[in-house]
Amino acid sequence: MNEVGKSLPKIDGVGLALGRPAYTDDLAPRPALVVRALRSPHAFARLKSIDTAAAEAIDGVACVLTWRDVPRVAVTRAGQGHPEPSPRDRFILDEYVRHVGDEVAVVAADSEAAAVAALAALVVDYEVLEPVLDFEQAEDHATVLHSEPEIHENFPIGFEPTRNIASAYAMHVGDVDKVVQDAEVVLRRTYYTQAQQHVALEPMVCATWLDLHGRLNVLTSTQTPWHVRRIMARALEMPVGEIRVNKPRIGGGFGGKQMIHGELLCGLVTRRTGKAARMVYSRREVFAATNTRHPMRMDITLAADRGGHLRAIDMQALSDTGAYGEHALTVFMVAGAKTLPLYNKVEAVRFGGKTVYTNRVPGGAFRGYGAIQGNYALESALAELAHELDLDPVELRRMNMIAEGETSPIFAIMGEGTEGVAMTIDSCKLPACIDRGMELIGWGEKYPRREAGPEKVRGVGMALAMQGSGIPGIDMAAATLKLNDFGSFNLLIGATDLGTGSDTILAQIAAETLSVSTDLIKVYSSDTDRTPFDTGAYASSTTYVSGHAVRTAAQKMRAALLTEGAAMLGCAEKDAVFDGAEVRGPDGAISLEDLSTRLLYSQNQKQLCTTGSHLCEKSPPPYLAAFAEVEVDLGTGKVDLIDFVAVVDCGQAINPNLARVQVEGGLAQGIGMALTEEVRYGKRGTLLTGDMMTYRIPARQDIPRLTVELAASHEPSGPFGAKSVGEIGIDTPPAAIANAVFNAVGVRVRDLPLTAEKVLMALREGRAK
Amino acid sequence: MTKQLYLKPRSAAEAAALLAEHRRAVIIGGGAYVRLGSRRIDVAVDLYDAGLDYVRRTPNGLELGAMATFRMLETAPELQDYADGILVRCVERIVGVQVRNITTVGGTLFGRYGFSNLITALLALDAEVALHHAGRMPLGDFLATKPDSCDLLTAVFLPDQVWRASWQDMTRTVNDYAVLNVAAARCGDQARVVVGARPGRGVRCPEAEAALLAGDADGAAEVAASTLEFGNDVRAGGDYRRELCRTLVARATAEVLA
Amino acid sequence: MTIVFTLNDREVTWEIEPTETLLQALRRNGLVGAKEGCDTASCGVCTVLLDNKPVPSCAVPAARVDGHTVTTVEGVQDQARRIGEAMAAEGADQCGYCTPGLVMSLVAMEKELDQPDDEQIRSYLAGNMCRCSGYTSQMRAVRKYLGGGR
Repeated sequence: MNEVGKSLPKIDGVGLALGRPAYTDDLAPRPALVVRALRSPHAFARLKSIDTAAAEAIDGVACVLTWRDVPRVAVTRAGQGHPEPSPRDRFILDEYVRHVGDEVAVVAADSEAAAVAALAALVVDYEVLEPVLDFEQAEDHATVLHSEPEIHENFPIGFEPTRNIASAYAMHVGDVDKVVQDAEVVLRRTYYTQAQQHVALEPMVCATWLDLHGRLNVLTSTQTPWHVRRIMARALEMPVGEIRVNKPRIGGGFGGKQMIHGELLCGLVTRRTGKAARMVYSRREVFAATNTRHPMRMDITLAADRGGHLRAIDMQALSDTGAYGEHALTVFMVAGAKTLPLYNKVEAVRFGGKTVYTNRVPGGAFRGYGAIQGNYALESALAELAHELDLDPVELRRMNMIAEGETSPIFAIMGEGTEGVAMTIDSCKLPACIDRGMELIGWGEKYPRREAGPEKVRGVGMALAMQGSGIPGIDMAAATLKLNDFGSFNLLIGATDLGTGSDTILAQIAAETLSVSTDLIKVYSSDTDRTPFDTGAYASSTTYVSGHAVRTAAQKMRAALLTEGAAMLGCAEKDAVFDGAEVRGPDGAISLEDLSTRLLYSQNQKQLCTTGSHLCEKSPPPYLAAFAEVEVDLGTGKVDLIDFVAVVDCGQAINPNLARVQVEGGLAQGIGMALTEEVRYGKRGTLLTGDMMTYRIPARQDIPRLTVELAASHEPSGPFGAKSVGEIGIDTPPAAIANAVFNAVGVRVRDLPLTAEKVLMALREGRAK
Repeated sequence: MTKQLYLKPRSAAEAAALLAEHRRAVIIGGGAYVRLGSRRIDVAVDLYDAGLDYVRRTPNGLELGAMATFRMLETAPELQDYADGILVRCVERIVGVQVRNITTVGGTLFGRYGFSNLITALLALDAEVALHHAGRMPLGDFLATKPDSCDLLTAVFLPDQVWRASWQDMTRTVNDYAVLNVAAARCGDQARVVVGARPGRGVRCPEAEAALLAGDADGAAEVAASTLEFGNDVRAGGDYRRELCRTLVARATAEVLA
Repeated sequence: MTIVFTLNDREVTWEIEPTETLLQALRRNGLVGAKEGCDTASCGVCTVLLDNKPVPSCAVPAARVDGHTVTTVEGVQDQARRIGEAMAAEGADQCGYCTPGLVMSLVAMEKELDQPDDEQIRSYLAGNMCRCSGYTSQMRAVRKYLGGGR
């Protein structure tokens, strides 16, 4: 292979470093109305009245919209397949506000100053209602968040809004209760995971305008242009064909931009005023009014024999979706679906529980998407079991984990929101990942602990993870290749590069298939008018699903080049070969440059244009073995990460550098969740962590060392043997670090994050074993 | 809307005159914690060009101009060894070089921030402040007064003393603001133990200072933890801060005694 | 109000609002290399040089720079290109939103520090947050860039 497997530089890297205009706010039309939302100071309230007269009278104010001025159409803001597995429980604006930061009204003005003045001039009379702030008390609480008659589920997801239940789910294989009853060893534990914020450095930004034809154009920082278009059409009551959504470069997403944010408000302003509009979220708005990771409580029961053979796993979860049910069911299901199949030797497995509404920032998609919550609980519990059985935790995993050629009944039972698809695991290099990881961390010498100076102890811990590669039966992608004169190609893809480098990777796949150099492939992506469809950049799907579509398009282009080349050479197609530079027949050759130019200008003129389309049929999991080394300060409880080793099986890496950095970046975000990141609220539901001074993401000294290697692997169903790599990196740090801290100082923290405060207080209370 | 003014005096005297002239003027020191858009400022008096950005040695010790930035403290040759470098230690990890290039001594002291590392360190070194009108006074006295927005803090003075000193703090991420900070210093029969970010502002703990003088680090830690007040904020709880105080005061005083 | 200052080696005269930040004024005048990230001087994506020192332009009043010198990524294109290439060679560039800010800090660091070790580099660049890369690949790129520059 010439192009695949090479660490080519990302095609947009230098342009971005130069600071060229590339992101939504750089490119948004000017002048444009400044759109700003008035946001609720209350966790739950009814808007008794909103007096807009003073705001409207301010010079430069173009429009003020309240819930009375918007279409009454229930939507979900979750960018998911159609119909969405999330409840349609939201309106563009509503009579009720359900969390601090929820939208009360929206103003649009000629200038920032006028918009700010208009917000200040709005007079709102709130009827403040009792909020639901504790998700463990939410079910059947006296306060009901959603009683709007229009809201509904699109298909059965267990939606019971009158009980504050957004979704419910249950599955089982075998008789868990019976196995637990019979088992020699039973371990029951409860773990909590916190709300985490994506903190993509580019906030949510969008701009809207009407083009020459009066169509609504939307430039937005999104991971899902087609879902944005479909949901906007529904919410604004206009035909899909009248909307164009385009995503330029995007400053990070991580799932945070898999939801609709300002697009509905901005689009409505443009519809009402006929003017271009622009909405840029402040960081405070990003924290208060977008989404977080769903916090969860996980009750785990493990049944095993004394030798460490797992016999049953029961995982019962409660998930907090905040004020709206975005991704409520699907995130919940992934907590089980992308953890439990790792240990497929069990006789019985059960998973279930509910997702409830509270008056908090809504939950939403976030890298890991439930798997990190499930992984923390399961991989912590396994470590606790190993400790009880006096077994090396690595041995416990080896005894019980899935292997190549095997399957799990869970694959067929659990999809995302629906049933899943049965599959056999054709690539699983976990044994090699574990061996290499142990070597890199020095497990033999370091497990479980070593003194590291006065009041300092070091420990190591580990965890395994799996994820998926797209959503089978749902994720669909298409790609078009267009041949240009003088031998270059346009690759038009719906796929959405959110900074991962997928434009580059997909160009590499096209180039490899065509045997040409990647720089001949000119990529244009993510424009609902000008590129083919793609469900979007989520669920670790782009390389595996969109990559397939690109490969198919390129195979067709290759065939077309042979046909046309042979015709020009006057030979039979079967006698011609294409090597990327020229089509060669028995009696001569024609260069790609010459062929492509003649095809447009002088001989057999025609446009060569091929399209590939791919529906994800299975979701082969990438696997990862993680090993953390920490140093705990016995006097402060501070946990310093010394090294984090991750060896990953992501199939054949199309671009090893970009695959590796996906893992490194995922690890860093997972390390943040493990140690410091936490969305916190005050007593009345106000956000205490509403800026980057209070909500701390790791800085570079917090992550002195990440050691990531890719295992040699090949997934037969993937393009050139690739699986996914976008999410799996984030899954293991919470459990691996928690296990390392336990091994170091004997403190088991079962609620994230593992702050110094929790560790020290546990040490002081003598909770160390 | 009235016309907003942005004034840039060329000296401290000119700045003081502007403050006298414009009763509602707001001084712009660093700017790091003043978001101009977030509150209505009719007259801004920016000290950036007022010639107060210096760190210098004087016959009686050291003088820090009100507009000396944290980055200047961090890199000033005069401060590398003064009091075992704790004025460098206390600022060098705050957020990043960018923020330390705009955060100023005067802005920090005038803001009287509870989380301030610098206040804790300066209190331990018997710093004095100079105000344009009110004159020179111990930093502790200045902090105890209500901010007078008509007066101008021009400089901080450090005595010409050879302090043995130690800086200790605890942060969540490396470059976060402190969960708790501790400065300890000793010079002859003088001892200082200051604990800040409790989350209240740095204060001296005389009982711990006595223990330090007596050479008892553990005693200093115990008494500081048991006598000082600690509270909750988004960074940590009061109980944890008390435990941290025990550890950090023990480490600071032990280092000073070593 | 009117300010006159040196922007990327050229004297410019701008009309600004007294309440504007330097970041707002730069972007309004088409210099979009500095980005808006956090509004609280916490993330580093708006880093520019004021009198050759890196500062968060979101926390610097535009009026302050009157009579002073401002350098943005648009003024250091050669270094930005070399840094961008070093980053891309490691896959460290990712979403790129923090890269121009990092470029500015690196440009300042090169002037201030002589042969910095890893610890000094991390410390100097600490204010440039990145959410994509996990920093490790950035450090690889920075070391290569510095090594190649000598």
